Amino acid sequence: MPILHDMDAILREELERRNCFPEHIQPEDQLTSLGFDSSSVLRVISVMEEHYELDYEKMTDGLWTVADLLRLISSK
Amino acid sequence: MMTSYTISGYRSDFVAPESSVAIHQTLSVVDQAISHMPVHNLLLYPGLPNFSKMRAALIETLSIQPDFSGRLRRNWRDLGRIQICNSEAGILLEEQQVNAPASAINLRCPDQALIFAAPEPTASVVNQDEPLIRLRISQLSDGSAVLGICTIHSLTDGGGLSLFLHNLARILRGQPVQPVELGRYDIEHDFNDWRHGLKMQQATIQRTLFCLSRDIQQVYNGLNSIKRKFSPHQKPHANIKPAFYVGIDQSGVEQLYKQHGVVVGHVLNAMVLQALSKTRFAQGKHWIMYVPVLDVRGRIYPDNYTGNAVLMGVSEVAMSLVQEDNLRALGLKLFTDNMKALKKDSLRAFISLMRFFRAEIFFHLLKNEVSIMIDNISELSFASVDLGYGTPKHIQMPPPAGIRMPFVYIYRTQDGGLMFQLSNPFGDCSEFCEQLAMTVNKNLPGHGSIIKTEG
Repeated sequence: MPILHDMDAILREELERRNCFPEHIQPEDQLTSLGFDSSSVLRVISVMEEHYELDYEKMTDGLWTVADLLRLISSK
Repeated sequence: MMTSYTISGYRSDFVAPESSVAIHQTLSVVDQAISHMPVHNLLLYPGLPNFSKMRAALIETLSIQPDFSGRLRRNWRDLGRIQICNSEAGILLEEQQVNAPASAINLRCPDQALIFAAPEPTASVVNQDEPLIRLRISQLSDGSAVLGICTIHSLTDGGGLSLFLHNLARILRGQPVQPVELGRYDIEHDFNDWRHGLKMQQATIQRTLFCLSRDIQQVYNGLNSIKRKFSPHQKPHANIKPAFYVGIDQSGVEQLYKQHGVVVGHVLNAMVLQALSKTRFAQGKHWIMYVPVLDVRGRIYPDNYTGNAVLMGVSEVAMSLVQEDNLRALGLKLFTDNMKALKKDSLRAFISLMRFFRAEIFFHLLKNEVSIMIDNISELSFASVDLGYGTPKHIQMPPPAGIRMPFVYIYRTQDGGLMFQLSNPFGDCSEFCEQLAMTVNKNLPGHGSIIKTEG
């Protein structure tokens, strides 16, 4: 999955800032368990904005997991 | 509660880095345009180091961030742009003894906050001998202490001040310091960005019904009234505006996260707009001009950037959407607008507009509509600044004095709750406060309350 691969790099770059180095990142992982807080999730989304077309209608149920972030991507 | 104190033992000094560091940093385009407004912070601590110890630690901290001890100068050889220079000039450090224990003071009460706030500049800070950061230590009778900080916004924002305070804390506790990024550089932009920005803002300008013949005079009047005229002999003072407070308790905050996920800021902002739409300010208006404060530290500037990294967005929100009473839909709209504003092309357009669109004109245009500026500082890290005697028991940020529209700070309380701080330079906002408390309790029943400030 090319998007998950790209997103892995984006997520790890932000987590590194927070001194978090998870071994694996899976779609079902909770964002807070990985080490994200609100402002770091917002920074990830702003990076995603530069690479993808995002559809924010898909976050009506909120953002809890990596999969919720992936769901925002409508195209590259 | 006591409202009059005996103050004694006043002393002060200018504190500069040990060796003079040659700095000639030209402020960015945004910082040239914003008013060099003073911003206050008040931190109540279990205790603070004495004057001498604080002075010694500040000398060392300023060696890492010499820009903080500089002065603002207009450089006519560089098109009149404003620079920071003269790092040997120093910051202002004061100390006083106040005969009251911590239990007897209420930093939310403006009259009391005035006693503990560091003094503001007495005149324009450009081409004057005005320190860009002032610290006032007030030692209380029970051993606790208040640290009052006044900074000039074109020097730094809350994030930059946090870096400074954390390094000061590390030095006081004998720990290694963290390097900071001192460079002041602009986001690249060109004429095409300016055109793009004008096009983006065209709807806003039209929406504010800017009438050239009528409004030009008002703009000039507005600009004149904004100039701060001080007598050179006037004693330095602080300008603490009154505010209203609505709190969400810790359980309410937990519920908020359970309902909405990791990111909840847009939901809080939506509550503010819903409350505003029910007040007299919104009567007869069809739009709310929503002005979020956007922090671009870690995106455009490095994480450890010492300067000002906050910008303002402007987004039109239809009153009909706000009054639909659908918090999720409104929150989504605000979230989308915030994220679109943070895209690099939007930022470039914004920066290029700031070259020609002075802040005073921007604020005046917004005055024709119902507008609201919201600054969510709930993740600002002052709460962990331990200067050797523990972390702050209470943090207070009085409303910025230079803001020309209703303004809301959202910040975290020490017990894990959230606080909305409402202020309005144009009049009373008690109705706004009551509506916000009702909005909070509608969405988080039993978890919202109005916090008193008197006494």
